[in-house]
Amino acid sequence: MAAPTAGAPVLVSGPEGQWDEVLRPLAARGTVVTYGRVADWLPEETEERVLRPLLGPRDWGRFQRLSHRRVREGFLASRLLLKHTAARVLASSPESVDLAYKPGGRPYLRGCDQIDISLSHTEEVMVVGVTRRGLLGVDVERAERPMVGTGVEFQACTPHERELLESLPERTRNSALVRLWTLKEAYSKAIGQGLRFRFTEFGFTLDDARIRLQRPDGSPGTGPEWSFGTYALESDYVVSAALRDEGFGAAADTAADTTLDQSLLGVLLGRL
Amino acid sequence: MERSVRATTAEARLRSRTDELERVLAPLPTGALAGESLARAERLLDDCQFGAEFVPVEFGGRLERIDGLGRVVRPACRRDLSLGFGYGLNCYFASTPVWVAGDLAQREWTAALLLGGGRMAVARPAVAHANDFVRDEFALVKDDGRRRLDGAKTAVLNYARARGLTVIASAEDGTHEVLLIDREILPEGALRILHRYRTVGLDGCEFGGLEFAGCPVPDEAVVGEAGQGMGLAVRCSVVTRALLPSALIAAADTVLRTAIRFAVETRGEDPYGPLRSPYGREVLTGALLDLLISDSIALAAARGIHLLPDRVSACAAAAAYTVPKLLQDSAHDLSTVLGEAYFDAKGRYGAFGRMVRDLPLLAQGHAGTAARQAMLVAQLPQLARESWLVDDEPPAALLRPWEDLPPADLAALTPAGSSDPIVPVLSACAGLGGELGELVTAFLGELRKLRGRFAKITPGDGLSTPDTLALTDRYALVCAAAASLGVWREHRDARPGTFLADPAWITGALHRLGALLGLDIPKAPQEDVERRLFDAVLERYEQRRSYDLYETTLAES
Repeated sequence: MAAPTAGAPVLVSGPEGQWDEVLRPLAARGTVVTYGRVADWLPEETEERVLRPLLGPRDWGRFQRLSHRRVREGFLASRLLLKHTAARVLASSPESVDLAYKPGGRPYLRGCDQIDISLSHTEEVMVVGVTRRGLLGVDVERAERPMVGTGVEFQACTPHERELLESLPERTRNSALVRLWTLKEAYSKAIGQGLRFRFTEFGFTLDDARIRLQRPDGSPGTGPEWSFGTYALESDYVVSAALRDEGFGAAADTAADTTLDQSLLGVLLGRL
Repeated sequence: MERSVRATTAEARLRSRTDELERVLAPLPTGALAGESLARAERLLDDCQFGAEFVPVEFGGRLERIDGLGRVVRPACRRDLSLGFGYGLNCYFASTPVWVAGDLAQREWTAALLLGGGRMAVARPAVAHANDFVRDEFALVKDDGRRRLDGAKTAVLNYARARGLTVIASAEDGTHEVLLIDREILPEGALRILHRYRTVGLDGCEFGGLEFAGCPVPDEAVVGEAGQGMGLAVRCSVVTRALLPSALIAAADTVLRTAIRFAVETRGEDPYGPLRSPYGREVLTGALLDLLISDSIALAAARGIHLLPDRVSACAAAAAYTVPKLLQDSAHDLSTVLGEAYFDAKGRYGAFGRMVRDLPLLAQGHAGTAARQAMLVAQLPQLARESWLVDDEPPAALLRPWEDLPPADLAALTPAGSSDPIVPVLSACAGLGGELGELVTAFLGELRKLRGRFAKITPGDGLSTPDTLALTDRYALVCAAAASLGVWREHRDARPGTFLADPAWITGALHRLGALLGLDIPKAPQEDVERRLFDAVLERYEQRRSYDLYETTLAES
């Protein structure tokens, strides 16, 4: 069984953006990755009256405690992209979606587990993944971020990956390492662990046809329920996605207002 | 077991039966059953009349208590969910309509089938937000007063080998009927076996398709009142929701045990390994707490079926909603302890990855969530207005696993109640001082907020919105806190000196649930709490005692 991958990220340039382009791949594949630019997503109105209901009490509190301008902007814009994306998928409003966090920091939509979400952002670009298949992690990095020679190869790569990197021409080595890093981040975020799952304990192939997670010695790691993808974003960024299909088959409906079965509710409310 | 050595109290009978099953299953590998070894394991269960666990004592079986059934299936579930659930507990799930509403003949037939080692399977109706397991349903067609079954279903557990089928079929007028079918007396060609439905998790479970073609259905196949099938199915789900957590708890026990085994066996290799690192210790103790929380709410739900049948449904739905989430999350956290060994498909640590793959399927994913949320959302507005912070607490026996229970009157179960089965425990604990008292205050504050939000909702109106669904999630966590607190308090009062009477675990548990709710509480429990819990994790591993409320001695495998 080859699980369907996440697919190339879809640009959304603001709350009134191209949502059909987001909902269509989600309906077809069960997963979609959106991205946006921080500048496009900064709201004009930033008073408490507007932002507090949008962010919810917890993120509003966090937002207020941030002092660095770029960090604040990135935090705000990425939450807005996430909440607007989730609201479209749930056929609801961003204010009514409860974006919550697990103790380890993994975001989720409280009470709405028809979709799993993941969020990543750099200074300028934010990426949001949504799947109804199971678990998803996404990560974005600048393609040119210098990694080779910074120690990342040793702190974050398996022996097998180091061999792979050494076999590459020097000019492609850094970009390969950035891809590997984003894949590791994506997988680790999918299982809610971030950097806590040691990156030297698992590695990736960079075979475009089918990226596989491997053990440090290069033998197979995850089973067929996992699929991985990396994508170039407008040549400046690299995005990776890790997806676990829990095996429930296609379920096209992700709207919130159809969650509760009417005949079940009829019984429960004593109407039948 | 010989009648002459039968223990005299229900609790003693339960303990000796779980011990017996542990011994019988001891030779089996954990989490590695498939093909021939799974078939051998099934025969071992047959040899000790495992089917009798699913038959009430008055029909010749061993089933005395719902919480007892939840404990008896754990030895098998700890080894493999395809064995304990797929071959075992699911047969009880399939037979619940018969025990809830069946007539004498249906009960005697079902009892004889299960006592003889036969299987029962259930074909559930299609629901909103369905997955492949509950997408399609059988149709009941009525012609000249005669009923026949038509249509196909994709994924029925034990589809090919269960002789007894409980089918929840939809009629043309939109009503449902529960039917009890003996497949061995069906006319030729009336029921066709379709192909197997392969799954990545629960891969030893035999899921597959069935197709009825003009299958005649005699009057005596109808279970309960004609036309009331959906109501019956909902009442049965109170029982299955109270029991499902036990299968998940057993699997999560193996998950934690495998992680700690890895940590202990490799501790010489890594001076910064999980036994010494703060995060490693935190996830190991956190996993124990999640198990104790899960078992507490499972206990309240299961014993509530005996003690509070007219109002236990909220607790059962909350248990089935929240336990899978808690245990899947802690399994993911534990993956960091194993590192590379997380990817082992077999061997000493292979059970970990296997159980992690099984858990989501057992929990039934979003379709399962949605059905449990429906049960909650239908009654929480009324409970908020009339019960929370007002009603008296439930009887002490609800949370005292060692106490006997009156026989379960399953016919008395209601889909929704008018008073809350468990959260009044919080108000009753309001006077506690110290750190625990502060935590209880924080949960009472949350309950007050929930009351304000739910009380504004008109029953039946605006129920299926993301914000209301989020509130059901919060309620389920509050429910779990109340059940855990109650379990601690009953042990403190009646079983002093035991681990469950120690405030360490309940302090840690409330911290954990409070963090999930985002309550304003100190971040981590005090260091000595953490240390006592970590010692308990290691001690239970070394002394081979289960990571649930019962500390069952596990056989060496």
